[in-house]
Amino acid sequence: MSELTAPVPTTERQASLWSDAFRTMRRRPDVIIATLVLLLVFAMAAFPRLFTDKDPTQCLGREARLRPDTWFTGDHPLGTDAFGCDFAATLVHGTRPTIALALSVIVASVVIGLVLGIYAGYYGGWLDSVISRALDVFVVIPMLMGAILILSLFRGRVSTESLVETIAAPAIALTLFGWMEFCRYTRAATLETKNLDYVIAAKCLGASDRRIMFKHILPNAIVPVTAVVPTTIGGIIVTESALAVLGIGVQPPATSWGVLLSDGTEWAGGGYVYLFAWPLGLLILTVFAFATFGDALRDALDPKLR
Amino acid sequence: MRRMRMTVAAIAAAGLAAATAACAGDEGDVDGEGDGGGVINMQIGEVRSLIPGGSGESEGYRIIKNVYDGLVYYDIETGEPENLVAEEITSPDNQTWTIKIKDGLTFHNGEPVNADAFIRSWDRTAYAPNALPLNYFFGTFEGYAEMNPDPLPEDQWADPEVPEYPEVATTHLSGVTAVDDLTIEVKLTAPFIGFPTMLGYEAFYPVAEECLADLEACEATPIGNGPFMFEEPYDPQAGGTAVVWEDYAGDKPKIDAVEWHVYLEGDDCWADFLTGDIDICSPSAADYQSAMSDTELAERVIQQPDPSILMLAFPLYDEKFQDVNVRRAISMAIDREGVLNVVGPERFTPLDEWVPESILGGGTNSCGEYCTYDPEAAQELLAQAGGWPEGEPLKIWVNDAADNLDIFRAIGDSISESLGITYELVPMEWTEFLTARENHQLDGPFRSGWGPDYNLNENYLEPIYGGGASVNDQGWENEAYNAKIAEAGAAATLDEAVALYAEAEAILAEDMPSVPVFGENFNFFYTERLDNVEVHPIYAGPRGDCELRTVTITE
Repeated sequence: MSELTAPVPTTERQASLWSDAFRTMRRRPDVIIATLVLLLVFAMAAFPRLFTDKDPTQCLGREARLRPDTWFTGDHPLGTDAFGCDFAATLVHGTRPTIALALSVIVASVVIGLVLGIYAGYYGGWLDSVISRALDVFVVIPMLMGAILILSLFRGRVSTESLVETIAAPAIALTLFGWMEFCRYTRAATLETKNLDYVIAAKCLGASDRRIMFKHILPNAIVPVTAVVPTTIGGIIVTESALAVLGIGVQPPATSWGVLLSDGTEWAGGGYVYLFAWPLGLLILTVFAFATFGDALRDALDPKLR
Repeated sequence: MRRMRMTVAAIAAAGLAAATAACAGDEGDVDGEGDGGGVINMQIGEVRSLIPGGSGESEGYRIIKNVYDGLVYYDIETGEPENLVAEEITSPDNQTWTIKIKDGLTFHNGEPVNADAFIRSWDRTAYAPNALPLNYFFGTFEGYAEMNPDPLPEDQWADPEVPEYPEVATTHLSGVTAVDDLTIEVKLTAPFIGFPTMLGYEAFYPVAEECLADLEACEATPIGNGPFMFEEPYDPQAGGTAVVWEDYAGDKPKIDAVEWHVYLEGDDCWADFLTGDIDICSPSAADYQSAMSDTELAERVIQQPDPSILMLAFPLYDEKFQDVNVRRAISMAIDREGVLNVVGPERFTPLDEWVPESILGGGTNSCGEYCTYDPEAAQELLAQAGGWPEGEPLKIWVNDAADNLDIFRAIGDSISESLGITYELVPMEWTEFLTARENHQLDGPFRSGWGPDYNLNENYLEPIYGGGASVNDQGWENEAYNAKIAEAGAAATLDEAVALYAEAEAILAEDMPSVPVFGENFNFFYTERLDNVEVHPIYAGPRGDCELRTVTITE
């Protein structure tokens, strides 16, 4: 007697692109280190009180520029800055604007890039022409220069009362010149995907354009975009610092790493190297972590490299 | 750093001989050929006006004092006025003054510098509808009241920042008469023994007829009678070059020309000084540290006490500051030593008086305990005054120049720490800042700096706090003070006057319309191409200046 059995679902894992990528990545030590660094930085941004119990706005002139001779202990673990504020507290509290700015820019850029890219790739025709030409225009303006131009308009009109007001102007400027890469990748992936059989099948079944775009094409198109995201975040953090040094990014008295770096450079020549070295070190470490992470993610997501 | 300045300049001149008029200089002047010549590069801020009577602030005055010659010039050592354009200034009773002018002097355009040249300038400044900042200097002249009626109500002004007046028929100060072509007689409303020492100030410089005929052109290319003249128009945003006037009758400067480079809003000359593009500059706190650790650079610094002072003044027209205990609390909350530690200990000295020690009649320590850091007493005083409005930040108004923001951030930090209130710095552009505080538009303490016009304690009192509540920046008025000032002006001898002015300072101290914070020190670095660099305690501008009449270039 032959039994007809229904196929039993195997307990074997279902290979998906994302879980494969995750498996590949967690085996790499450099990714582990980068992840730890990023966790630390995000924790500093989210819960500064875990790292310091000092108030960064409490500054005593008499204690200005105490060198961090006690190394991580004592009243001022990293010394005090030019105004007598605790430097460790300043550094930790300066993380939030930096990270919040980078994340809001990346989210906005990705959303704008994805939507425009999918529409351009899917519909083609005049819509594609308009979006692609706009993209060409923005691509030829370097991000830093574009941001400088935009921020010069805001100069002297920026309030620093809340986090949103602090980062709004630089976030708008950086987003305006940061979405093109995502748009290009998405458009290319959409062009490639829209003629695949499963998409045509969905179309024949009467799925709406919007459903096809966001349910069927987007999951494929998002893969190449994802790999670029971490590296771009690193880039944004560096650009923010550059803008702060030029005096047009986040405006003091709000702090960000860029602002600290800019203040620190003034004093480094007078023998207070730590005011410059700490924000710089933190900046390099974070950018390195994002770059490593992004690199590993790209390798993991690209089947050709596997 | 910029500050309000009132000073007088006139050119030292042994024998101002007859000079022929010559308007055009030679372009070749600027090339710096010839021995000891050359062009000196100076930093400057935004100037308000280049016609005498229109500036009243340090930056415009720095140019005016070199382009014009006043009646007297102050000695660099003693601060005593010495005759420059004036031949002789005399009075039998300190109320009617006779000024004789040297014969044969002319303006750059050839017009004679005579009694009329001074009278037309004074009439212009004293005429209320012209709305000039130095108008109040003529308040003690007879005939001032006729030219200065009460302004129209504020809502009738076209521009809310420029007061308008009803039609004023009187255009001439009746107290000033030309006895002959070279003699002026001035009648004051009350005796004032310090009158001759005032005369070197910008408010009393002469103006050419051609200048009044076309003010706009004269604003750009001033027609002066001093050792430097403009051939090209001066641009307040970009600067300009003044060359030595070939026909200047006094001691000609040793350089060929001076080029002023403009630094606006927080820009600072130090980077350009290091590359040699600016010849004299005063560094910020951070730059000062590295400059002094450079042994070669440290040899080219001029450090001397500057009689200029820095104050935090209160808007008494705002109800939050009407209780004297609030003002005392804020003063006692400032840790002056601590702030010094932030901004560079060598740059200032803590101040507890309104007239600094280096000025005649100063050094009274009139502020005493209220200028001593004592956070507990400060909190107590604030509580007595009813405390600070909950959740409202203390706004501190500052003009954004050089490292003013750093200095006032340190002051704000200290107040905030001692009193437990938050503060906010409001930076403003220089000319806007001047207008706002003159028009009583501020709602928090503001930066107030003062440099001497002449060596007398009166100069630190009356021009800043006199004139009544509607006139001075603080909106302060006290009858006992006014009476004391009047008494001092009428004193028979200078010594008596000085003592009486010191008593007026004590009355001021009781009311505390402003808080003395620092006395300043000059820390001017100069490039190696300069020699004989002299910093005049009365004339020098902030942020880097020297006597252009004596400096030499050695390259």
